[in-house]
Amino acid sequence: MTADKNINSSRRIYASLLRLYPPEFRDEYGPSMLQLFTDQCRWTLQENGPRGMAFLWVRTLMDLVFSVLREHITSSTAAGALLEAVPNKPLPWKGVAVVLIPCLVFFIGQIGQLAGQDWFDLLIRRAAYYLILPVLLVWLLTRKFPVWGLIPLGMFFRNVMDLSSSVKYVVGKTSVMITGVADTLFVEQFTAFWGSHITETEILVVTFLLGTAIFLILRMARRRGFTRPAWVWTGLFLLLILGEQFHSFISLVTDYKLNVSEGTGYQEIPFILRNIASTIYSNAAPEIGFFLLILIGGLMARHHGRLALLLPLGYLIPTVVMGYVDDWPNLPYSLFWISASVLAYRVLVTLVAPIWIVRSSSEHAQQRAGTIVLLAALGINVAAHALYLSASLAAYGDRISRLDYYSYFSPELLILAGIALAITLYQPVNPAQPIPGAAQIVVGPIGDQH
Amino acid sequence: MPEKQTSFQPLTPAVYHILLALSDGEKHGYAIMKDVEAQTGGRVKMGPGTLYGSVKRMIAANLIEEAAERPDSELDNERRRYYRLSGLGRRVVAAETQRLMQAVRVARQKHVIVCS
Repeated sequence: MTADKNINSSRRIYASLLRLYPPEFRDEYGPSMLQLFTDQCRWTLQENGPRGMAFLWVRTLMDLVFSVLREHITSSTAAGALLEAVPNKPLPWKGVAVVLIPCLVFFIGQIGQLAGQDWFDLLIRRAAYYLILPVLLVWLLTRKFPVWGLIPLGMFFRNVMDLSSSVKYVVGKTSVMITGVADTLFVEQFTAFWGSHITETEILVVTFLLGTAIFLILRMARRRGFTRPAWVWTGLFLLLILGEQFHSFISLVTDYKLNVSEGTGYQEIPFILRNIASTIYSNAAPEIGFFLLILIGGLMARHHGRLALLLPLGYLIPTVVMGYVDDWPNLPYSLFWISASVLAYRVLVTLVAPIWIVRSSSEHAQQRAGTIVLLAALGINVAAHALYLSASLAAYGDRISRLDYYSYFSPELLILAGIALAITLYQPVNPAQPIPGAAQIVVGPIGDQH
Repeated sequence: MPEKQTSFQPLTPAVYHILLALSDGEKHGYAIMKDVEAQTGGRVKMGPGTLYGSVKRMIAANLIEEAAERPDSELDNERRRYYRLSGLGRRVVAAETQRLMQAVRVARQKHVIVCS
């Protein structure tokens, strides 16, 4: 009689705990789970008595915590189709809210920066490092990359590119310090070694990024995922990078000639070579990094289709495409125009684009939404650059060469080519073959933790 | 279709043990759980959440399928949902077992485990 009472109490408690599961999972498996738990209680009481029941409850509660978490994460409807959107259906508003979290964090930081607040740095520069953590956790638990993780990954990628520049800077500073010590000790070989070492580090990073990109292209080409338009846009993208490098090279050589003719500054060839390598790193590394991210998006598109556009969008959110702010001629209206254009750009990339893309009801509409908003954002940058250019021409027109005109607009051209490549690579997910794949049946190590 | 079977590899312990439990016939949830415990000498004890979460995903992946609901006379005669291996599930568990056997063979060759 007492045994029955114990079982009934446990059964009642477990039945109420089942409410923690997503409704569709509970409706489908709740009665069976309750039946199984009752069987366990019966057997445990019979074999091990009340002490066994206590252990059973500990195990069951642990199981409950992990499985409730997993079912909510992987549920197609309970968490707002968050892990993978249903093809050709808009993401539910709950899902939109989660997708928007990193965008809002960044947008608030941007407002803070424009308002002259100190805390903006925490949100703008460091947000990506903590926003990526839940994404990685869910990826680890479910072996699926969640759709709401695409924007944080893009932002994280961008921050890492910035960080790598900082690392280069730190390495450079350290090397300069060591070089200085070595110079005082008159060890020329040591100086030469460190001088070349900086250059090698810089070129190695670019080579690594480019090598990984080539590896991904070959992988996609082998699986016929790299179409002719993709090759065309890739070619154009790489040509634009080469164009930038050519511009940098010409600028350096011009400076070198100027230094030689005026007898000022460094004139040594090794210094010039090192400078060229440094320029390649500074210019090419972020651009090849962006290219690599678009290719990674091609892998993501297998599960997320056109929604993989959120990945390059995440990269663009912290990217200030409009540069040269430091050189902006000190005109009375300049601060207003900088603030207005930056704010308009941010509104488009952090709010309008993600909402429009994920709420579109077909893959075609997602592509159209992404294209329109990103073109509008780039248009704002082009307008801001044109404004800057006209101000610069008025201020120091005699010092602006024709090549400089190219460099003002080349970032937008690169992003345009990158987005076009993304659109060709991110093919729609075929709704007729929605999954199920290996990733779906992987249930993680919970089963053997009991 | 060998690609299809190997695409599931490596299986997680929970999935592998459930497939193995169903390899000798249809079973309901509690019977699967007891079978897994028996297979592993009590080291793997699945709770209801893990078991039915796995079952849900395995049905979606077409590894197992639901059989007719019926009572189990050895327990309490309540009606229970039974599950059985699909053709794909049978091939997948065989392929995974082959993979594990290969690993055991290598372990033996390297004297990680000693043959008795």
